[in-house]
Amino acid sequence: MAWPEENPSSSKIARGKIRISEEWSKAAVSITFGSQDSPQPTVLVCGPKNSGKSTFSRHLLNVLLQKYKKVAFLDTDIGQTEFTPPGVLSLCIIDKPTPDLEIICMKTPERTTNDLHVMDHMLYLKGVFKDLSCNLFFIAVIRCYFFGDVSSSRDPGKYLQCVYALYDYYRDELCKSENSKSSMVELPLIVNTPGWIKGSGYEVLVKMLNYVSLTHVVKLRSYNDSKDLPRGAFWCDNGCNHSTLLEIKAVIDCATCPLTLQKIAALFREIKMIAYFRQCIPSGSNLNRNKVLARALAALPPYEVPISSIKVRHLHCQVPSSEVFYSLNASIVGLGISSEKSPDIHLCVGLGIVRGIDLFKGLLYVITPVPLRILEKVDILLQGFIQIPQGFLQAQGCVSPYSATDVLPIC
Amino acid sequence: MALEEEEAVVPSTAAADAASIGQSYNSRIVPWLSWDEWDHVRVSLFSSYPDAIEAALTRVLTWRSRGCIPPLIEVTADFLMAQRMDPFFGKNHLPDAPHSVDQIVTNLYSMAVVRLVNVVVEKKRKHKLTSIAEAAAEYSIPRMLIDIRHECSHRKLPALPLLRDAALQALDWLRSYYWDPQKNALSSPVGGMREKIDSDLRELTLRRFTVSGHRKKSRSIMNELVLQYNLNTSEVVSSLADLLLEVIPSLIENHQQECESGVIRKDSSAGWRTLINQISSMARNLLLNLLTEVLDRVETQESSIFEAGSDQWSSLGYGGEAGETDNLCSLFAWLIDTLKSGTEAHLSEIGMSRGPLILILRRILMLAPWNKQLMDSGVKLAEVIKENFFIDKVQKFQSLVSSNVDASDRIPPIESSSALFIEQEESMREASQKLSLFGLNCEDNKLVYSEDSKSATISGKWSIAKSWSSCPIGMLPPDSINLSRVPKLSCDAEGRPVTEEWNCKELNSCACKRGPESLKDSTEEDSGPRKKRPRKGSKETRDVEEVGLEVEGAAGAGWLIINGAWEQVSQDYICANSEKVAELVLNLL
Repeated sequence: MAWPEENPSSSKIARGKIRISEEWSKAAVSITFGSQDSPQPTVLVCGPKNSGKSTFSRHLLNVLLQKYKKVAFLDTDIGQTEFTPPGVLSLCIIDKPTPDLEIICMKTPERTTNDLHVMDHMLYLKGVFKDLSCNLFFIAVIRCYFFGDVSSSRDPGKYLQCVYALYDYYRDELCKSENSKSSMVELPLIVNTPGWIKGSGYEVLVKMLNYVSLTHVVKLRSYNDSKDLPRGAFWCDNGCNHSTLLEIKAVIDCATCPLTLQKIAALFREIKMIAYFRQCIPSGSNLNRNKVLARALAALPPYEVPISSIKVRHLHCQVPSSEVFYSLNASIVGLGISSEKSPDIHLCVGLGIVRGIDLFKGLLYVITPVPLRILEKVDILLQGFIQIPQGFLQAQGCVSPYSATDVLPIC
Repeated sequence: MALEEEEAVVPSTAAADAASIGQSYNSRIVPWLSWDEWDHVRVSLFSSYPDAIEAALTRVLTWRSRGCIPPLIEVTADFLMAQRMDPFFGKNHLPDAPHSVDQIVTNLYSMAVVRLVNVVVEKKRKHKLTSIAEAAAEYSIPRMLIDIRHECSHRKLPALPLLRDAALQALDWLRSYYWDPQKNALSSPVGGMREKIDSDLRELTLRRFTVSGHRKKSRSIMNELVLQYNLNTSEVVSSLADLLLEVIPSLIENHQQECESGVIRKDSSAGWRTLINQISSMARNLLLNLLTEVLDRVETQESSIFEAGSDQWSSLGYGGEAGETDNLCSLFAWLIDTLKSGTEAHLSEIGMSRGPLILILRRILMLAPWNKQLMDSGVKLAEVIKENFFIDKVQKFQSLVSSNVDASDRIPPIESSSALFIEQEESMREASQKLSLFGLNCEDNKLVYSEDSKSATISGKWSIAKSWSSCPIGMLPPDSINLSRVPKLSCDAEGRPVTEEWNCKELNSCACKRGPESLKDSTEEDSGPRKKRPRKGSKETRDVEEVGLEVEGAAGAGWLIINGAWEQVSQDYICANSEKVAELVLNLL
C-alpha cells in the first residue's frame, strides 16, 4: 500500500515493504508500450481491499509518465483518496517530473479550455508528490465533487453520477485539443476504484466499468478466492468486451493483514485531513506537532461570509431548518458552486471547517486553504459525514465544546 | 450480507483511537455543544410532555446529521419515535392515519429492538464467538428483548402489544445502562459546576499563598480553571469576583501596613495582582470580564436599593465599616490598578481591544456620577485606554459632577426612600444629559463600534475576518457587546436567531406547557450575571437591551433585538419606545 507522502510515520511503515513484482512490472509495461497503433491507454484498476490497487496505480502512473507528458487520474476511492482529502471524488492531471522545483510551483496549467475558471479553481490544490522512486511530480486537481462520506454505500446513485460527470469531463474537455478539433490530446487515464466489491459495491463497480470506455482493466487477485471479484470479464453480460483484462496477484496476502485495518483506514483519513488543513497556515511556520497546528488554526483569522448569501445543504440527511446551525457548527463542509446544468451535484473547490457561527451578526466563519478569489464563487456549503479531526478540537487552553471528556466507553 | 466496506459510522470510535495518540484518552468527539445540552435532551426524552419529547427528538435528529452520535442515543430516539407514531400512546392521534399504521408501528418497534440488541452485543461478539443471548445476559438486557430480536430476524414479527411492552422495558434499560450512568460519570456535574470552580479557586490561592513547593499541582489547577473559564466564563468570573470581594478589605489594609512597615507579605495586594495577571494571560479577557461583573453587581446593588427603600437599607450592611457597594468600588479600583500595572504589551498580548474598555468607561459614567471612587477609577481607565480626548472628557465630566455632589460623600445620606429616589433620579437625569452631550462630541470620532458593525453589512460575500482573536473551533471570539463565547445556534426558518429554548430548570419545575413568558423570564435568569439589568422603577416596559438593525421595515413593522432575541415589533411599539431607543442609539455611538 502506498501511503501519502506528507505523513512521515506512515511512510516509515510503508518504506522498504513496497516491492514491485515482475508480474506487476510486466503489466504496467504492456499497458504503456503495448503496441504502436493502439489508442492511448485508459485503465481501470480494481480488486479487493488492501490488494494494492493504489500502489499499482501509482506504479502505472510512473511508467506511463515515461512515455506520455501528462496522465489523468480519476480517483473514485473516496475512503482512501490519493491526492485529495477523504470524501472527495477527483480528476487530476499529473505532469512529468521536472528537475527544477521552483518552476513547477510557479507553473500554471497550460490548457486554456473554454471553462478556464474551473482550471483556475483547482490551482490551490496543485502540489508535488514523490513517486515510489522519489521522483517529483506536479499534480493539478482539475475537478472534484464532495461526496461527503467515505463509502458509496450511503448513496450509490449520486456516487455514480459524480463518477460519470468526472469521466465525461475527461472525455469531452480534457481529451479535445483546442487547436485542431480532429486530433486528440494524448492523455492516458487511470481510474482507481474502491475496494468494496461485494453487494452494492460490486454493482457500482460494474456500472462504472460499463460506463467508462477502457482499453485495459487491471484486476488484482488476492489469495482468497471468496474475497475476489469473479473471474473473467465479469462486467459484460454478452461478452462484448473490448478491453484487455489483466489479472495480477496482490503483493501481500490479505489474510495476514492486521484485523485493525478499519481503524488504520480511519487514522489515515484523519492524517490526510490534517495535512489538507495544514495548508491554511503559511508554510515556514514550524508545525511539527498536531497540537501546535490546532492552536495555529484556532488563532487563524477565518474567512467570514454572510449567512444570507450562502446555502447550506446536508448531502445525506434532512436537517430541520431551525436546527441547521446546530448541525453545521464545527463540521467539515465541501465548498460548492451551484450550477444550473447539474442541480444535484455541485462542483467543489475544496473543503472548509465551519469554525464558528454568529447568528446575531449573521456571519459564518470558515477555515479553508482555498484562496479568496476562488472562494468568491462558492455559494453553497455541502455537509456530509466526514469527521473533523479530533486534534483540531483540542488546542492548548482552548478545548472545543464538541470534544467531550467523561464519555462512557459503552456507547 | 454485511457491507464489506468499512462502515461510515465508524469514525466515532476511530477518531477516538486516532486521538489516543498523545492525547487524553477519554475524550472524543460528540455532537452536542455542552453536557448541558445533552442533559436537557436526556430530561426531555424521559419526560411526559409531548412537546419536550418532540423537541428532544428533533435535536437527536440534528446530532445524527453530525455523524458522531453514540448509537445508544439513536436507539433511544428510535423507540420514542415508534411510540410517537403509535396511536395507542399518542394523544395527538392523527384522524387520517392510514389503516396500515399498526403495521408501520410494528416495523418501527421491531427494528428498534433489533438495533438495540445488535448495537450492544456487537462489541462483545467481536472478540469471541458467544451466543447473542449469553452476551446480552452480561449486559442484563431483558430476556424479552433478546427473544423479540430473534423472532424479528428469523420468524414473524411479534404482536403489537408485546412490542409496546418491550419498548417500555427497553427504554428503562437504556436509561439504566446509558443515560443515568453517563450523567453520573460527568466529573463536573451539570449545574453543579459552580462548587467545583469555587473550591478550585480556593485551593489555588491557598497553595499560592501558604504552601511552598507543589508548583506543578497549582499549575494544573490553574489550567483546569482556564479550561472552565473557556466553557463557563460567567461562572468562573463570578466565583473569582466573590473571592476577591472577600479579601479586598484586607488587601487595602495590608497595603497600608506594608507601606508603613516595609514588610511584604506573600498574600499581599501585589501577590494577588500577580496571580490575576497570570491567570488572565491564559484566560482571555479575564480582567475585562471581572470589571464588567463588578459593574453589574454595583448596578444590581443600586437598583435593589431603589426598590427596597430604607428598611432593607441597613440590612445591607451600611452600618458596618464598609458597605457592599463600597467594597465593590474598592475592588473595581483595585482591578483597574491591576489593569494599569499590566504594560501596554500586556494589553495587546491578551488581545484586549479598546472597544470593551470604552464600554465599561461609559457605564461608569452612567452609573455613578456621585461615587468618587468609581469616577477616579474611570479616569484611570481612560488613561489606560490612552485616549487623551477621553481623559480630557472624563475629567471635565467628573469636575462637573463633583460640583454637584460633595466629593467626600460616599453615598447621599438617606432621609427617606422617596427623597433618595428623587435625588438619584435627578442626578441620573443630569448625568444622562451630560452624557448625551458627551456622546454627541464623540460622534465625529467614530471610535469604537464602527468596525464591528460594518463587518455585518459588508456587501461582498467572502472576506477575511478582521480583528480575530484565537478561540476554540466551534466557539466565537469574545466581542465588544457580547462576551459569551459559546454560540447561540437556535434560529427560525429564515435563519434569524431566536431565544434559546433549552432550559432544564424550567422543564423540571413547570408542569404545564411552556409559555413564552415563563421561558423569557427563566432565560433571563439563566444567562448569568452578564445580562443582569438593574430593575429600574419602570418595570412595565421591557428593557430594550440592544437595538437591532431594522430588517423588515416594509409594513410599518420591524425587528428589534429585545432581551437578546429577535422580536417583531409594530411601528407603535417603536414610537412608544423611541425615547429609549434614541438614548440607547446615542449610547452605542
